[in-house]
Amino acid sequence: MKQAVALFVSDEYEVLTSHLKQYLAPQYELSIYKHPFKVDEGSETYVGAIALGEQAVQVATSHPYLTKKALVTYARTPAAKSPSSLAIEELSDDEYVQQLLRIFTFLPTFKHILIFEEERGSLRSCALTKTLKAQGYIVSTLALHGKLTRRDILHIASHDLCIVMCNNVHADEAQRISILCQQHGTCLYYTKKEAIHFGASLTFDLDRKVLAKKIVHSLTALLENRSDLQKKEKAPYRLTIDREALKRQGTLPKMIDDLTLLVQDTVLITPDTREKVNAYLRMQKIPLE
Amino acid sequence: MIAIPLLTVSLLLILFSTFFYLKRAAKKAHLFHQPRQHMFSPDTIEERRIGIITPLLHEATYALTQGIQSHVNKSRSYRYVFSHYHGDNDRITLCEEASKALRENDIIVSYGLAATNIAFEAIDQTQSNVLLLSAGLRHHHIPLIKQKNPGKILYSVVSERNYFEQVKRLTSLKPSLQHVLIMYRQSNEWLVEEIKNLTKTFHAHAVEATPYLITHSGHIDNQIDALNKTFDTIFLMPRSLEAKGLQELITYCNQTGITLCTNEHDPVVLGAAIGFGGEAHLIGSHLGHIVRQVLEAKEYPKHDHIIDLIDTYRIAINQAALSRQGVNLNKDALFLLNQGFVRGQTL
Repeated sequence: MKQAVALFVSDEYEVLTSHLKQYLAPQYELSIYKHPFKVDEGSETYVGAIALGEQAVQVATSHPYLTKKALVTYARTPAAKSPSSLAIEELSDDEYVQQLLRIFTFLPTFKHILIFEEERGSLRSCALTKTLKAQGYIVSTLALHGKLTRRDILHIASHDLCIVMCNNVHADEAQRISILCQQHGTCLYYTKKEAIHFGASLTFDLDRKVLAKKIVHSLTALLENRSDLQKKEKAPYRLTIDREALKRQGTLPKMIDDLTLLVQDTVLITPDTREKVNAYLRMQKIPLE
Repeated sequence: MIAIPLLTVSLLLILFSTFFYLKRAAKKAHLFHQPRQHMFSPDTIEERRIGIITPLLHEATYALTQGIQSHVNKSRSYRYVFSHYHGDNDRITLCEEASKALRENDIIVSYGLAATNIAFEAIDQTQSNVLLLSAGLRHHHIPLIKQKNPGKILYSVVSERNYFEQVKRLTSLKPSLQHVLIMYRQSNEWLVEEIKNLTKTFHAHAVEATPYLITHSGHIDNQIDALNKTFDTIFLMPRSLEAKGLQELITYCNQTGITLCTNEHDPVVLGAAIGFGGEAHLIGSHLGHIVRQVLEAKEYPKHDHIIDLIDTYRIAINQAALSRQGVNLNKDALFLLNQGFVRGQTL
């Protein structure tokens, strides 16, 4: 018989919820609670719970019964209050910027950076501008309107890299910016991975599929009382590179070219003892051929 | 005079409406339309058994199984059950296992020349009609198998090792590569030719290469030192060393800062820095397609069918071993390899 699990989910996590449903279904009986997260009387049947989003996390961590159970939370700033819970956190603004800077090491010729902001003066954008300036880059910031002005076009043309910080990707807008970047040899970076389909050459965004797997894995580990569990983990992010777009935008240095050739087929491993023992056992004899 | 056509029209109307009413009623009672027959339900799933024959349970066996699974698990009307048969490296036991596989399965898959030969022998002995799919064969194996099994239909996936790609990737990971020691165990007569080609490929990349035939599975460090040459990388050919000898070699490489690059993933788990492997996964996914064609679409082969592939590898990198074995990938490169995804890239 499948174990019952409650899922508290805020509205903005639709994609993540659908991945979670897919991964939880074979093992668990899932009950979904949306805003206002009213838990019915049968809550004591749940062996564990997952909460996605600030509000959902608040409800789950203050529930008298669920706090005693295996609880996995995910939000931008989750509070892991109950002793049994495991919190998966999004990268903070500073951490995101630090990761982003790693990408710039592969693009050493870049000096002039243009940032398009959807939300003027967002914390992430401020952190990025500040860090980039401290690193010696020349940074300009513009607001992202629905329509690109002559001034925007001139700015794109005079910069090496264009960073678009947005919450949603608008296809027309992204395509227009990518064409302009292509025409003027400016590399286009988006914070949302969907933009890769509309001409962005680099994106760095949350990997929802891997995150869903991580949540399910953590829940199972909590239920099995595994000793190797950490109380807090970072959400998985993925850097997506479109080599063809990079070439079109006139920036494919040899270093990134060589590495991107390896990225798709390479897996970095840090094997644990069990894996080592299994590999040793498999290699105790050499096959006939 | 007017009443007669009016009466005729109203009569016709009544007749038509009655006809349509009856037709609708009959439709509801499934008289005109057949009920749907292809409704999917778990009760209608049939089970099909696939037997995989290999000399040993090895890394490639699991990769092959995963590859087949990735394709056959898409089936909605059949559930596929996998069984592994191996002879613990003994040909007689393997032949018995192959006969057992023929009795217990709907289709069997052999991996490698030895397993294919033995599976054909088992088919002769048991007079079985079960279809044999062979994989892990090279081009030059095909005429030999045909010669030994005249009149038999050969359904196989033939693949060649892609050393050019391996050398190219290795030089990207270690640009300082200068002198490579190619270590191998002569498991078959064709390997000598492969080693010659590999040496040429290294030379083409301006890297000096020295082939070395492993004479003894122990004292690896002494064997290498006795060569009296300096190397920065050891390229270990597939199935050359067993676990104990490999561990000696890993320890030697860690102490001397030599990069150990292997042709399998298991040595990387044990401590080698870089490994090319997982090629059996792609072969498996091709086999999975054939399995579904044969068992679901009932397309039994009437002639030989050979699918030609070039091995495609996954590169496994042991992060902890990199610095010990002289590969200087900086943190940024590791970040890119760990979290990067290149869109639309295929080998």
